[in-house]
Amino acid sequence: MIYLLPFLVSSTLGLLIVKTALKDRLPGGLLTLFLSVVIGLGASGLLTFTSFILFNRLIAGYVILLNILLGAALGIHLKRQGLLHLLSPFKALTAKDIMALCVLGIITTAVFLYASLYPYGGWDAWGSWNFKARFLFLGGTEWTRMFDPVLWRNQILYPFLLPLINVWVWSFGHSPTYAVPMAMTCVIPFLTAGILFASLKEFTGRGQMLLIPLWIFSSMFVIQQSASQYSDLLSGLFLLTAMVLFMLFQRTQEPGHLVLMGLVLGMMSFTKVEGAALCLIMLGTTLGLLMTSNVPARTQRQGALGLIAATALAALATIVFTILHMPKDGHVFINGMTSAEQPVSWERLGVIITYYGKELLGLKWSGLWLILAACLLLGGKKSLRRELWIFPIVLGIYTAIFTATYAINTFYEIIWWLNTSLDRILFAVIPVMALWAFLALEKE
Amino acid sequence: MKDLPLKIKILWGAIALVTAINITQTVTSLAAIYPRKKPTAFHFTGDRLSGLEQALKNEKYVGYYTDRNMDDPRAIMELLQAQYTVIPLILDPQNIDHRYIIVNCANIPAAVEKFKALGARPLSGNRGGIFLVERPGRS
Repeated sequence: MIYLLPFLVSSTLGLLIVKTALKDRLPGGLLTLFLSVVIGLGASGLLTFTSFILFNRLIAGYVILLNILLGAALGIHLKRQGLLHLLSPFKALTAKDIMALCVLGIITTAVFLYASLYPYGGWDAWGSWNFKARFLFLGGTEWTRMFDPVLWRNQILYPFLLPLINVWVWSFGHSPTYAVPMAMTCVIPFLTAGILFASLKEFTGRGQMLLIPLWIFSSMFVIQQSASQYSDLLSGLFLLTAMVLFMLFQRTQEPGHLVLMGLVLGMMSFTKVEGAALCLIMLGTTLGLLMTSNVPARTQRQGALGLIAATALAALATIVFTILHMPKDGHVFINGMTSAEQPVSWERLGVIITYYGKELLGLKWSGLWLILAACLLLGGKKSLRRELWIFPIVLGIYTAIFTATYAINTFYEIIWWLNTSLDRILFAVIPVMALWAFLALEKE
Repeated sequence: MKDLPLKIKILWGAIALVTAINITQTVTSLAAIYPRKKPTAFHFTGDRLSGLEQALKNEKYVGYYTDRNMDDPRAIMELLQAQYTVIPLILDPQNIDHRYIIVNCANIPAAVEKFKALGARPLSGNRGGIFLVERPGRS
């Protein structure tokens, strides 16, 4: 039960951050609550990292106190403005919302049942993500030894927000129990499903959108991926959250949404290398779309500044990690453009493209990609209307970047690499693809 | 739903059908694997090394020797699971120059032969085929 406390603290902190940014222009109760939990958990993870920066070790008391003090400071600020009504999103919930939450709980139950069979998660859970979490928790002042080149098999090049969130939860107990990452792997799909449903309902007004997360997360393969304890879950959640916040900005022209989006982008940059790439792509795309929009110049300026400042603030952890700690030689990169022994080839690119086709049509996805493609085709021109431009631009650039990475980094045998990583990359973008596809079916 | 064109209603029908199929398959799969898998699901190589990090808390590196091919995924899996458990100790794969070495061989006679060849003495008993050995005189 003690481990429920960090979730409560994080959720409250997240709600205070959301209210500070948006004041009284909150979206629907359900969406506000889900946004608060996501932003709160990410913020708590980043605040945990400050303990390592300031004291070179985890000091659990400091981390807990910092979360509470930040929450209190935001609470006092909101109180002075007469906006401290923490229960307002709960009061806005309807009976249908509560029922939807129960249905989404079924998804979590299925993930939990599968996760309990593999309490240590998949290969990269004990090989990388939970390895880092344990090192952060147990390593004391020698936590940076987790970047020792001897440990190159543990993906030491990767950033570590998910491990930090697990460390944050462990801080309330005494030992790094495996139950926490296992619980987290159930919570994150629940939040993803919740944000997907709540945002689709927010933008379309249709309650039947509940079927969409139920459809996606009822697939056995998606449940397996969800129970993996991998960081792809978190980068997928942040990507979806950032997209939803941008859509909310387009609807309301409230710059506070872009501030929150910036925070989420910064958090996403610390989840994975792919998250860092997505952060930069989304930041550039958002700024481009903002500056070429019909939004008043003052709002454009405020929005752009808020977005850049919030991204920079939340990405401080990524910057510190990249400059100070990230090993310069991760032993897992050969530039095929310059290597004579393992050069890049058209054949390799052909293998990659062919593999994409086979993967997307694979039975394990239960027709998921075909249905999403059908939605976009049925949407026709509406799929590419201006307010949805961010989806094809970001996903297009991202696809080009990871395809180029597969082609140019010839360290790995390509079929093995695609076999072990492509489904995870696709899994992380499913919620965003679904948001795009089902918004494309709606009238402008 | 009433305001939707027919083709979109058909799409929603298809999604509902796929969801129903997914749920049926998932429930069937979970029911099939749950009782069979549960007793063995907790098999984790690292469990056999539990407590080692406390016994060797003054060490930073421990050698890790296996007679398996390190290109074999099973060998790497065992190494990574062992490394996960002994944090903050660092396992140095196939480096036998350390004072303490974890010997993880395919069978017990092979392990005994190896630590005899190293001039090492076993510190811990057989942990499911895994031995911790010490090479006296090494720092």
